[in-house]
Order: sequence, then structure tokens, then C-alpha cells
Amino acid sequence: MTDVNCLTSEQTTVEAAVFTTPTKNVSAATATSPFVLRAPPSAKSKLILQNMEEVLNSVKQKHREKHKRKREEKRRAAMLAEAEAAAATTTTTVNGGHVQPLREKTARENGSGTGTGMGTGAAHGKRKSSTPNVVGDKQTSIMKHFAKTEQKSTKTAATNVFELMMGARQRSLGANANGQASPTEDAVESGAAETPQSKRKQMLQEWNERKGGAKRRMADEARGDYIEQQMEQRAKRLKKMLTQPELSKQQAADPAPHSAPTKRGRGRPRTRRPSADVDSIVTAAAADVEAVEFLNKLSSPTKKRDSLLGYFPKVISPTNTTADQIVNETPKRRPRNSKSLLETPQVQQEELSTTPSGRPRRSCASKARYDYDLEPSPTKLKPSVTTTIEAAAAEEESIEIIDLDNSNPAITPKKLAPLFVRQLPKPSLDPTALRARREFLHSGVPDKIRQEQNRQRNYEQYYEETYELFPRIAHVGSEQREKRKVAKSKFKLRAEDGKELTARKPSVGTITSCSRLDFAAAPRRNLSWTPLPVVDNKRAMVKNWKNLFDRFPTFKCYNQMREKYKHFSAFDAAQDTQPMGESFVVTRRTRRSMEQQSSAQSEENVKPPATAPNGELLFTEKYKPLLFEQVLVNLTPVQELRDFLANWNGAGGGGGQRSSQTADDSLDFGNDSNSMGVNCNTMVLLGPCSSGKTNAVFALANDMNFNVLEVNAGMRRTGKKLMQELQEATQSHQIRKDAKAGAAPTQQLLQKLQLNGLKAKRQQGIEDEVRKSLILIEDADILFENTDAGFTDAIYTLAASSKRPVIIVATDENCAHLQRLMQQNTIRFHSPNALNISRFLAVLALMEDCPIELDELISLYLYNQQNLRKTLMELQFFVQSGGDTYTTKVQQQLQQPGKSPSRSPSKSARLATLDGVHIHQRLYEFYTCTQNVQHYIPFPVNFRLLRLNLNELMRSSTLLQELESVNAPASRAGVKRKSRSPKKTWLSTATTTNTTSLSTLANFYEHISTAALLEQEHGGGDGLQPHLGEELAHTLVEGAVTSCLAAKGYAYNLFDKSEERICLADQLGSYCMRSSSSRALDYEPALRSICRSEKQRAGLERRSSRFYHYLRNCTVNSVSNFATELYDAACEVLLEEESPTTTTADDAEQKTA
Amino acid sequence: MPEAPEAAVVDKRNNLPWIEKYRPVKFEEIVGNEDTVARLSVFSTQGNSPNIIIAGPPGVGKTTTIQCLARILLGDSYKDAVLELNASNERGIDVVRNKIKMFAQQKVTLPRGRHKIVILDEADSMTEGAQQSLRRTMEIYSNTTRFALACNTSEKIIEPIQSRCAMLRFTKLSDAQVLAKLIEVCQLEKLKYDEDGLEAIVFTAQGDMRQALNNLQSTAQGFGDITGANVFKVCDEPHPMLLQDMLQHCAANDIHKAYKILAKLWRLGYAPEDIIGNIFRVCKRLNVDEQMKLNFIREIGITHMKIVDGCNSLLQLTSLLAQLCTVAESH
Repeated sequence: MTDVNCLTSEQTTVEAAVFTTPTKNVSAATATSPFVLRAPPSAKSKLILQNMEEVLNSVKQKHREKHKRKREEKRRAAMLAEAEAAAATTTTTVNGGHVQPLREKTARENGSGTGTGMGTGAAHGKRKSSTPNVVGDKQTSIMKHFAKTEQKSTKTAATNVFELMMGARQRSLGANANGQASPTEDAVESGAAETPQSKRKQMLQEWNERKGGAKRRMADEARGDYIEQQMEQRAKRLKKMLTQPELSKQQAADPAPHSAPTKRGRGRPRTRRPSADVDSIVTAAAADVEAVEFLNKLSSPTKKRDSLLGYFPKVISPTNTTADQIVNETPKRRPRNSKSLLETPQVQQEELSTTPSGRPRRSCASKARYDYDLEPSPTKLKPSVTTTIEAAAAEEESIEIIDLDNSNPAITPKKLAPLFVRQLPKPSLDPTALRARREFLHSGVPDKIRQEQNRQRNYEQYYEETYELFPRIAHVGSEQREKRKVAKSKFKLRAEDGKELTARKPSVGTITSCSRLDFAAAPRRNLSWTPLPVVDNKRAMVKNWKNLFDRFPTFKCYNQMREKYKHFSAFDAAQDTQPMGESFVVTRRTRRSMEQQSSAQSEENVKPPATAPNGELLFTEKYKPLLFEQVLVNLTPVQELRDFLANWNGAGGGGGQRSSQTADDSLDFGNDSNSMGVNCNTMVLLGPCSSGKTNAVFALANDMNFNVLEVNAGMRRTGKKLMQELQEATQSHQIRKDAKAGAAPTQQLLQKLQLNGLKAKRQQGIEDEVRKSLILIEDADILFENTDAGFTDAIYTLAASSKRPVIIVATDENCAHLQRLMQQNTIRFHSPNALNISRFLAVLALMEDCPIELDELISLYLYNQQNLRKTLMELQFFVQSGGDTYTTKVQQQLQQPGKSPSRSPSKSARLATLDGVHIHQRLYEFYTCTQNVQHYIPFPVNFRLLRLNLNELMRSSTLLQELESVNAPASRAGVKRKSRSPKKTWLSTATTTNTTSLSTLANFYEHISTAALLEQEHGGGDGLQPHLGEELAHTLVEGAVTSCLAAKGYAYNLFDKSEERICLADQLGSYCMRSSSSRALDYEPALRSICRSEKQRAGLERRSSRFYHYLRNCTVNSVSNFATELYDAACEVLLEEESPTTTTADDAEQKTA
Repeated sequence: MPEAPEAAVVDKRNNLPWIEKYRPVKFEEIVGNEDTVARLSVFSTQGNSPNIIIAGPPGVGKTTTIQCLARILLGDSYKDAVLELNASNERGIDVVRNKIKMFAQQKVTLPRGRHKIVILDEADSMTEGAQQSLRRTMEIYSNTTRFALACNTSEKIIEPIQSRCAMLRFTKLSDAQVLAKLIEVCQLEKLKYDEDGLEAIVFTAQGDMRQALNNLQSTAQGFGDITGANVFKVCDEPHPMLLQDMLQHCAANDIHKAYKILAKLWRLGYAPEDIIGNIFRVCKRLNVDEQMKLNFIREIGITHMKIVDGCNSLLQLTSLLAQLCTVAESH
């Protein structure tokens, strides 16, 4: 409580503190001392110090008068009673026995011999009576500290806060007699005069007593007494040590009281020395200097900033050493001791005033220190007092005078806790002191050193003046100018070469392909665009095509597309003002309305709006299947998926238009699947890019009324997030119902029937509400380790726990983290057949008013590696930008698209046209031909394609044919001529040796192989730099084809069919084929057998599939990628042919053949 | 400095590098790849352009074409409706998942048939992860947002992304196309030029319009006139005329004269890589027998290989000359 008060305001703390701790007086006095004592040190320091002493005393007096007079009578009565009580309780008997001599002395001095009581309370009483005597008062104050607790003394210089805290502690401890006695007695005697604080304290103590505080206090008291006793003993010991030499050095005691204040008054060493001189303490010895130095260090700002704990032990040591020295060297001990006693509080004051730390000081360190400091103090002071009572009395008079003068400085510096002090009260030194200080510092510098310094300075100045940072005169290379001139005359340098060259001007076209014509200004290009003419008789054309497209549902496709085309055109036209929604979902309802719409409208009159002639959608969006019936290609996997989803649809599916099952069947099936579906709720869709995996899911979901919850790679899909989002979805209303139903099948059946009935009654408006969810995880094989942590685990937990179907879409078949799921349920998608797709695309193109040759579509599709989506994109780009209308200047006669070696070059698949409708033929060309520089062979040479095309190239080579034709007649002619002159024919053949077909071929192959080498050199270039190697290779190949073979009119295939690619060599890798047979015989068969057995094992039980997966993912050797079918096939071939010597390479060839 | 600025606007334009100053803003100004550019111009007026990837070597106008398309297609709303990210922007997975997706979801009122455009320049420098996370985004928001990618090598774009775009391949510009543009710029800048100088620039540019314009500007600002000598002073390359002489000497089986030229070039300090490159380029246009030229090129190729492997000493080049002479002798 008091602590809080002291924090809030200082005034209250003073009062509260004073009530129990009279040390306040001393503390206030000492607190003021730093301000007073910082007075300029001078020769008259003695006088000043005296003044200071007086000031101190006056302050003490003042305080005492202020605070104590009020309570004097009351207090005295209390004390007397308390002393009696204390004597009765026997707690202080030992204590009293020790203290007595001191107190007797003081009593004698003070002249108030009331001190019959042994307790501390008696000391208080005495002190109050001794107000007039300053010295005695001082003594009593010290005595009082001493008598109470040794800790008290440490607090003398402490801040108010600390003091208060300690006071409070003491009170609670009950070490002070006041705490014990006053509450009861105060409560009895003077209830009216009590301050509220004391009242409160009383109450608290009463409570404390009630709660067994008395016992505690007793124990505390006992402990306190013990400590006091200990202290007394120690003090005695010390006193003994001190007094023995003291007796011999009585005369040295005289300067002690004077020197002591001087030391106390000054914090600086310089001032101390003269003061010592003045005080005529000639015996200021080395020990003294040491201590001074040490104190200097302490008072230095760096030291002060140090932690207090680190500070105190250092203080202890000098006092200890001084104590030791005291013992050792007898003559100088007296003044030093007193000094050390009095200096230490001063140091502490400084520290207090400067340290900004709000940390409460540890009491133990200071305690340890002051134990030593203060105990000898009475012993020291006593002799001085006894000897100089008169002096003290004389001083007493002067006190009053100075008190008036210094009353302001003494009172105004209210001591604040360092916590509350904003700026450190750094007293400003007056200039004279500073000057004196500086002089002192300078005075010590000997002339020799000064001269040295001067010389140094002069030298530096000279150096700075003479030395240039950037020298104007360089000592390096100045001579070489002329030398270089000499050298120049010797060797020709570039400049001269330039002159040499400029004399010769190259004619145009020698170094570049520019012709003189190019220097004429190029004509402006006209980028006008004419929209495609609308094809009117689409239906008739489709009818024509129908025969051509055998086994392709041409009309179905046509009708469907027409519907969509019309719908979207109408849609665009209708919503001309507002933009489209995010995605257009055709439900059965809308489809029906669509049909109605279309039937209502006349057939061909729907046109896209004028503002957006190209529509708003991509072809991939526009023509994607929205219902199961609309799936035209890749029907089987979609059907599988549909069956899977049908299990989950239950009876809640839309429409009941199932083709395969009746309603009852589906119900039964649904029941079965519920039990089965627990372990089989996931389906993995595998397949290459754009084989329609995702679209199939969406189409079926739309068809079967599922709500698709999609998770794709474009989202953040950490395991946590995934679970959060999807768990919520799986716990939706419908699902819970399902789960409940799963427990009781009969109930569920009933429920479902009811539901069905309800649904039948209610109209389709409810349909949207009953949509069930389906979880679709896209791109599951893509895993970003650093961003999507726990994705795989989430999939597996989802697969294990989900009550809704989970469909996982992946491309990579060997994806490691999905293997376990893949084993359960997998539907494989394949790229649609090229022929079917070409027909589909042809119809589509026709719908978009741009019929395109079938060959073009096939070629493009194959060129895009059977990527339907890409083909659609490129088709859209081609169609919507005007089809064939742009005829490039260069006619490519060599590069006729769509001619693969297997098919005849004659255009068998040319589409029939009607009414002169132009069939566009330049789709493929647009995407494959280079438009700036014409190459016969596409620029980065693909040697694999070149190998495929070699046949065609050879066949079309005019040079080879010529040679053969030449050779054949020549041989015939030779036969004819043989009779004439065989020698001549020999000669004739000899002259044409370099033009035989074999040498031509050899030449050709040499070029190509070199080119291949060059290309290999730069395989995997980044393409940012035009690679010389690539260019060289290309030039070589093209040159070889044109000049060596002189091939003309060849078709260069830009795609190889996937069928052709599958060969054993590819599976094994060319590296394996090339490797030595020993390797193949050594470990590959073993590896293969391991693979086979592991595969079987993995098929049998799931748990042991670890190695299987490991081997499967082991891409180091392609043997282990389980292409065993090929080996099996090869073995079969081997068995059939029964040729024991065939190698694997032969197998490969046989296989591919 | 070639000319003094007349007005403040002109001054500002003058400070631009010419590749920026003469960057085409209309499709008509784009040089080369006429067919593709013309088709793109149709889309710029008609709207509904599919996602496109433009692949091709540097300096053929990929970025320019895409920017033209976006600017003409979107007009005033270019600022709102175009998100342009190039290699200097961060395009990691997070950016694709957040920034691009946010942009795709954003609502911008555009005329019918027009879509927001995300331009990903230098898309081949995107990490595979970023591309993977782009794939489905591209599809889902295709009704509102279209993508235009530019890259150097299409191989670095993953297949799923390629599958969602129409691939347009740009090739190196022909010399005539570069020349035409150079003449146009020279006339606009009122430069004094001769055929020799322009041809030298075309030779050094190697079908890269950016390099051609840079070389032109360097020559114009360094020397004023565009002459062959000045151009080769700026773009320090082994002079093609010297090399031509050398090859002719080789074709004439005169190794001594050929070596003299080679030694001179070597002494001038050209790197063997530069020398071999220019030898090849000159050899392509050399006026000798086709077969012999092809054999020459083969030998050059082999020497190039050696140089790339690190055997780039004068000895290798000398051996090339010897080989060329042997080839010439056998013919």
C-alpha cells in the first residue's frame, strides 16, 4: 500500500516513510548533498566543507522539526510503553546488552538520560529529545539505523521509493519495535490523531494478527535479533581492531572530522589533493591515492553505466583493502578510514542521481558493503566527537546562518526516484573549474612531448600540402607515348585495314541475301479483311460427306453442332448488351428449351451478332459435350465413368433418362454400391493431355446432376486447406442423409422411395437443391513440395473418408504418390482416333462457314501430337481469321502436307463441294511453313523426322534416279558395246566414278552425319542465342538434300505416327541397344524377372507393392518400366520364327516391321 | 549527334533508343511473318482471339505483335484489361495462383467479344510449377480472359499449356525485310546512307530487327554516315570481304594467301568463334560450285565443333584452311 502511494506522489511517501522511518532526515540530507557538494573546489574548500556540514545539519534539523514535533508527545508515550513491553517480552535482551555502551554514550552526550529501556524504541525516544545537539543527533541517527537493522543504513542514500519499499518490508517483518507495538497502542491511545494511512496499516496488522501473524512476527523478531547480534559482534571485533592503533594515533584524529567531509564533498581527484594539502594531512600516502583513483574510476561515466551488480563488488574490494591497510599501516589509517566511510555514500549518491535504470537495486550487494562501512563509523566518530565537542558547538552557531542562506538549495532538490527523473541532473561546471581542470591536464605535458607533437603536426601539414591525390605528373607511361608511335609504324593496325577495305566495295548480295530490288521502297501492305461467306447449304454438304465418313455419326454430330452453334449465336445476339456469365451450363431443361427454340426458328437464319462476329467463346468451350449423349469420341472411358457415377447418384439423379438401367435396377444397384462404395469411392482418370478427362467429368456431372467441387493446381492446395474445404462439402445435408441411410438399408430404401415420390410430385424446381456433390481433384500428379504440403495425404484421407465420389485426374501414369489409388480404380483415356476427329473437325469447320480439307485436319491433328484441344484452338485461329483468304506469295511446291509414306499421295479424301463453295486447304501450311525465309526442311532439324522422311527423299531424288537410269542404260549399252571396246566402257565408267549413286549416297550421308554431330553439340540450347551449330546443321542437311540428292517434289513429313514410334529400341533406349551384350546378358534378365515377379506380387496383395512402385518409378533403366508386353511379344515372335540367333535389335525391327 | 531537336516533343522522342522509337504500333508496321500478323489483325478488330503462344528467336517482333493486338483490341481499357508480366516480374506459383487468378476474376466492362488479356512475355522462363498452376486457370476463365504468351523456345512451355493455345511460330526475318525497315528508318532520320552500309548492318543483324536498329543507331550517332566501314567500326566483326577473299583463295587452292588474311585477322584480335561464324555466313553466299560449297560448310562445321569444344587456337583455323584447300583440290 505504501509502495503504491510512494509511486503516485512523493509527498505522501515522505509522510508515510517518516511515520515509521526517521531515517528520512538523513536520507534527505544526503540526497541534497550531491548538489551542494558539487560546488567549485577551491583552496577554501575547508570552509566550504564546513558550510556543507552545516547545511546538512540544518536540513536534518528542519526535517526533524517539521515531522517529529507533532508526534513527539504521543510517540514518547508510545515508546515508553513499548519499551516496557519489550523488556517484558525479553526479545531484546541480548540486543540491548550489546548496544548499551553506545547508547549510554549518546545519552551522556545528549544529556537526556532517559535511556533505561533496552529496545529500539528507547533510541527513538532519546533521539527526539536530542534535537538541539547536532552531533549527538547525527550519532543517534546513525545509531538508530544501526539499532534497527543494518539494512536500514544502506537505504540512507537510497531513493524514496526504495526506501519506502524497504521500510514496508521492515514493517512487515516486524523487525522494528514500532511495528509491533504501535498498532495496538496507537489504536488505543490516539485514535483521533491517526492519519488514514496509519489506520489502514492498523487494520492490516490486525488482520495479520488474526491470521497467525503474531507467531510469524515472533519468528521474524527472533531472526532479526539474531542478525543484530551478529552484527554487533562483528562491529565489536572491528572496533577492537581499530581502537588499538587508534590509541597511539590520537593526534591524527583531529583532522579527521575535517578531512572526512572534504572527501565526501568532492567527487574529483584533482580537488582532493589540494584539499589534503590544506588539511595538512601530510600523510596522504600511496594507499590513499589508490583509493582515490579507484573512486575516480567509479565516478567516471562509463562505470556508472555499468550494471549495479557489477559495480558493487568493486566497491567492496577497496574498502576491504583499506581495512587491511588500516591494520597494516597504522599511521595513515585514521583519516583514510573515515574518508572511505564517508565517501562511499557519496559515490552512491552520484550513482543514484545518474543511473537511469529503473531496476531496483539488489540489496544484498549494498548490504555487504555497508556492513563494513558503517559499523566502524560510530567508533570513529565517537573519538572525534569526544575530542571536539567544542568545535562542534562552535559549528552549531554557524549552522543557523548558513542554513538561511542555503535553505533553498537544500530543500528544492526534491529527490526523485531515477525512474521519474527525465534528464539526468548533470550539474554544469562553471568555466573556471573547467579551465583549472584543463590547465591541470595540460600542465602535466612535458616540453619534450609538446615539441614532438608540434613536429608531428608540422610534418603532416607539409605532407598534405605537398602530396597530390591525383598527381599531375605521372611517372608511369609517360615515356611510352613515343614508343607506341614507333610500334605503330611497325605493325599495321585496324584503322589501316579499314582503309584498305573501304577501297573495295562489295557488290550487293555478296554477303547478304538482299537484292538490288530490295533497296527500292517496299510497298505498303494492305491488311483488309473480308469475312467468310456464309455457307448456306451445310446440310447438303454433310449429306454428301456422309458416305465418305463411314461409321462416323455424321448427322448426329452435325445436328448437335448446329444446335450449339445456333444456341450460342442466338445467345450472343440476345445478350448483346450484357456480357456473358462465367460458364454456361446446359441442363436438360435448358437443352429442351433450346430444342424448342431451334425448332421454332427456321433452320439457317441464325447469325452471330454484328458486334461480335467471332462470338465470345473458344471452340473448346463452344463445342464441348455437355451431356453424355453428346460425347462423340472416346465413348468407352466416359461410359465407364458414367457407370461409376451412377452408383453414387442413387435415386436423386436427374430425369430418369438412363438408357441402361431402369429405375428399380438403379435403386438396387445403389444399395449395393453403398456398401461397396465405402472402399471404392475414388476413381482415377488417366490419360494424355486433352483427351477429354475433365470434360467427361463435367459433362457427366451436368448430365447426372452432380455438383462438382473442383480442386486444381491453380489453387493453393495444402493438405489442411483441402481438408477444410472438402470436409465441409462432404458433410452437407445430402451426404449426412446418405450416411444415415447406410446404417439401415430398408429405411434408406423407403426414404428413397419417398424422395422419389416427392420429387415426382414436386417439379424440377427442387432439382437444383438436391444436387449432390462430387469431388474432382485436377492435376493430382502435380505436386509442389514447398507450397502444397500434405496434398497427397489429404487426397488419401479424402479417399478413405469421403462419403462422396472422388475423381482424381492425372496425366502421369507413373506418378509415385498416386499409385495406391491407381490400383483401385482407374479409367484410362486415350487420344481420340485421328480419322474420327478429322471428320468431327470437318463438320465443325463447316458449321463455322469454313469447310476445310480433311487431310489438312488430319495432318494438323497429327502434327499437334493428337492434341485435340490445341488443334481446336488453331482451327479457331485459322477459321476466324478468314481461312484461306491470305495467299502468301511463295507457293510451296515441295511441301505438300498430309502425305505420309504409308498413304498414297493422291488426294483420295478430297471433300465434295457444292455450289462452288471453297474448301480451304491451307490450314496445315499456315501452321508449319515459315513465313519469312523459306526452308525446305524446317529450321531446327529434327533428325528423327529426317530419318522417317529419308525414304521419300530418296524416292524423289532426281539425281539418284538419273544416275540409276543412266547406269542401267549404260550397263545395257555396255553389254552392247562390250563387243566393241570393253576398254572404252571402262574408261567411260572411270570418268564418271564420282557421280555413281553410291558415292552420291555416301556424300549425302556424310553431310547428314556431320550435321547430326553438330546438332548434338548444341542439343538443348536455350534458343536465346542463334546457334551457329544449328544453323550449320540445317544448311548442311538442306544442302545435302538439294544438291547431293537433287530431290524435288518430295513431301516432308512433319509428324510421325505414334504407331511407328513404338519399337523395342525406344523402350530400351538406344543406349541399351548399343551397349555390350554382356550387360544385356548380365543383369537385365535378372532385373526383368524381378520386375515380373514384383508385378505379380503387387497384383496379389496390396501391401507388398512397395518394390513394384520403386522399380516402376526407377527411371534409370528403362528395363524396369514394366514394358513386359513388348518382351512377351518379342518372345512370341522368337518362338514362332524359331530363330535362335536373333538379337533384341532384330526383334525390334521385326516388331516394328 | 545527328540532328538538332526542333520541338520539345521531338526532343523527347529523340532521346529514345530507336528500337523504342520505331516500335510498331500498328499491324501494318510489323515486319515479317505477314500471314500470322494479318490474321492477328483480324482478331484485333473482330475480337474473340484464342489463347496464343508466339514462339520465335529474339528480335522478330513477338512482344510487339502481342502488344499491338492488346492495344488495338482493347483500346482505352488497355490499362484495366491487360496484365503484362515479363521475366522481370515475379511469376512463381504464388503469383499465378493469386495475381493472375485475381486478374482473371476481375470484372472489366468490355465490348462484346473482347476479353481481358494476360500477356506473359518470355514465358519459357517461367518455372514449371508456375506453368502447371496456370493450366486450369487458363481454361476456367477462358470466357473472360485470354492469354498471350511469347517465348523463344516452345519446348520450354509444358504440354498442357501448349495444348490450350494456338501455337504461332515466328521465324528469323529475311534480309530483305530487315533492309526495308532500315531504309525506312534512315529516311525518317534523314541519314546519309549507302547500300554498302545498309548491307553491312543487315549482315551483322542476322535477321534480328532489334540488333539491326541498334547497330544503325550506334553507327549514326558515332559516325553520322552509314557506310560499310563505319558499320564495321561500330560492330567490330571480322570483315566479310576479307573472309570472302580468304575463301576464294582457298577455293583456288592457294593456302599462302589465305593464311595471310587469317593471320591478319588473328593479329587483330578477333575471337575464333567470331571468325568461324562469319566464315560460315560468307561461305553460304560464296560464288563457287554447290558441291564444293557444301563440303566447305561441312569442314567449317567440324572446325566449329572443335572450337566449341575449346580448341580455339590459330592452329585449328589454319587446319580449316588446309582442309578447305584439300577439298578444293579434290574437286
